[in-house]
Amino acid sequence: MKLEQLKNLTFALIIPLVLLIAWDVATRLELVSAQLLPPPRMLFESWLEMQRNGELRDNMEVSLLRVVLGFLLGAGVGFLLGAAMGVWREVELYLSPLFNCVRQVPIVGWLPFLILWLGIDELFKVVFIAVGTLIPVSVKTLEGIKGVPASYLEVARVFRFGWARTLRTVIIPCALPSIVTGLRLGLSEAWMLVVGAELVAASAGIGNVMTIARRLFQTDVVLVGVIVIAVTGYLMDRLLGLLELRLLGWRRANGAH
Amino acid sequence: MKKIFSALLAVTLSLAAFGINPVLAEDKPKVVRFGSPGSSYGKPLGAGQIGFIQARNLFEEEFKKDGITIEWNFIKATGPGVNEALSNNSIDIGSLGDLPSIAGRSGGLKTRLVAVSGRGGNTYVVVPADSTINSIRDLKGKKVGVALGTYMHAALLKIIKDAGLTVRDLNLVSADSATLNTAIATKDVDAAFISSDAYTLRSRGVARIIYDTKNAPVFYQQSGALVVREAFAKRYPDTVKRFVKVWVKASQLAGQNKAETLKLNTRTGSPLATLKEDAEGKSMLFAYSPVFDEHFLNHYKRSIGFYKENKLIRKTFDIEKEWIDRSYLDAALKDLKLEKFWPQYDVNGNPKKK
Repeated sequence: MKLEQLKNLTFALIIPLVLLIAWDVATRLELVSAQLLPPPRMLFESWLEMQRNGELRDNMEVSLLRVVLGFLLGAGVGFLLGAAMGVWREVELYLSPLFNCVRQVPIVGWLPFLILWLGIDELFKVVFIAVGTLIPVSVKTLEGIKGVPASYLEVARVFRFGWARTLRTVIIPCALPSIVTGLRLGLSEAWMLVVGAELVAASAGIGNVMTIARRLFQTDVVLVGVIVIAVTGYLMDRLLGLLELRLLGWRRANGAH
Repeated sequence: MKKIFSALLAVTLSLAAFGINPVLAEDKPKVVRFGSPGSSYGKPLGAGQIGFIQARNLFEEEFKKDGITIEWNFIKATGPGVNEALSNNSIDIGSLGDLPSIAGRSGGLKTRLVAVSGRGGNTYVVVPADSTINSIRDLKGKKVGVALGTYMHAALLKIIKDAGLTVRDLNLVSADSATLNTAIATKDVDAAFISSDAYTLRSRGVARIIYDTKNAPVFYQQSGALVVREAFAKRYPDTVKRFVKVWVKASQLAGQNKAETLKLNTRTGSPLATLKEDAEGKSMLFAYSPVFDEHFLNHYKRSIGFYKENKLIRKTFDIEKEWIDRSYLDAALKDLKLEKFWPQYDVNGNPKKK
C-alpha cells in the first residue's frame, strides 16, 4: 500500500516537474520576457518575501473567512433545499423547474444584480460565494436521495421503520457519497468565486493583492497569487477527500472501489 | 541636359552612400503604434501634445514621405494598461504618468525614457455634496476610491501622509475614473481621489472638493514620461528620433498657446470650464516642457524612493544611468533649434535664472 502511494505520488509529480523545468529553461534562455512569465526563482523569492512580511497570511485569512462563511451558508441552504426536494415529492414538483432554470445562469451572470442589491462589501461577497456553493450541493443532495434504491425503502417499510429512522439508517447512508461529492464541488466553486468577488472590488484578500499587483506591474506577485490559490484549493479539496474516506470508508472496504 | 545629368549624379551618389553606409538603410516600420491613457469612452485622457500632433497633422508632416502611419491607442486601463500594452508588444511608444512608468520600469519592463510627456497634473479629493467630511483627517475609516496604479494613487499616499494617516486607516477601493465619478454621485464611496473631473462633478452639484494639489508642493503633482520599447528603439533609432522631434514640436505649440491647448484638451471629453479652472495659474511652458530638467529628474528620483518606501515598487533603479536616453531629445532640440527654448526648472518648478 505504502509503495503504491509512493508510486502514485511520483506519477503525479512528473508532469508538474517537467513543466517547471521547461518554464525555468525558457526564462533562462529569455525565450519569453520575464514580465510575461516571471522565472520560477523570482516567484519563489516573491513568495518568501510576501510570506515574511505577512502580506500573504493576512490576505489569505480574509479570503478564507469569506470562503468559509459563504460555503457554510451555501452548503447549508443547498443541503436543505436538495433534501426537501428529494424527500417530498410535492416540493420537487413545485421547485425543480424553477431551480433548474435558475441554475443554468452562470454565477458571474448574477454579478451585476448582486452588486446592485448588496453593494460591493462583505455581504455581497459572502452571498456570491453562497449562491455558487448552493447549486452543486443541492443538485447532488437531490441526486443522492433520488438514487436510494426503491428496494431498500421497501425493506424499511416492511420492517416498519419510522420516518426518522428511515432517513437515518437508509436514506442518508445511501445518499452520503453523492452529498459529499456535492460538498467538494461546492467548496472548489466557493474558492474560485472568492477570487472573482475580490477582483471586482475589495480592500483585502488574495484577489485584491493580485489586482493591486497587476496595476503596479508586479507580474510575479500576480503569479504567486495564482499558485497560492491553486495549492490552497487543492489542499482544501484533499481535506474534504479525507473526510469522505473517514465517513464512507466502509464503501471501499466493501469493494465499492 | 545638365539638369538631368546632375540629377543622375545625385541618385548615383545617394545609391552609393546607401550601399556603403548601412546606417542610412535602417529599415522603417510601416506604422508607429502609440499608446496613452484613455477614458472609458476611448478618448485620450491627457491631450496636450497629442492634441496638437493630431490637429496639426504633425506626424504626417514628418512621416508621410516614408509612408509611415501612426496608430493611436487610448487605453482604458490608463497608465497600468499602457505598461501591459508595452510588455506584450502591442504598442511601440507610450506616454504615461509617474507611478505607472516607474512601476513598469521597476517591474523589469524594457523601455527607454526619451522625453517628458506633461507635468503638473492635479489630483482632487472630492466628497458627496452633503457629506460631513471636511478634511483629509476625516477620511479615517472611510471608504475612499482611487484608480490604483495611477498618478492619483501616488498623490493619495503623499496627501494622507501629511494628515498623519496611512492606507491602513482607509478602506481603499480601486475603480476607474468613470466608476468613481458615478460612485460619488450615488454616495457608494465616501470620498474619491480623482482628476480635474472634480470641477465637472462640482458644477453638477453632486460633489464638494475638500483638497486639491494646485497649491500643494509641486511634488504632489504628476510628471509624465514618454517611453519607447527598447527593442523598437534599437531597431528603428531614426524613427524614434523623428517621433521625438514631432513630440518636441507639439510640446512647443502646447507651451505657447494656452487658450488653444485648453481648447484641444476638450477632446478628452472634459468641458472647457473644467480645464480652465484646472489650469488656472499653471505655466504651460512648464507643463509641456519635454526637457529632462532639474525638476523632472528630482521628481522621478524622489518618487522612486517614495514608492519604495510605500511598497508600490520593490526594486529601485538609477533613472539617469538605467532608463533615460537623452540622444533622441538632444537631436530633436538641435534639429529644431530649440535648445534654449525651455527654461530649466528647479526642484520647486520655478524657472532657474541664468
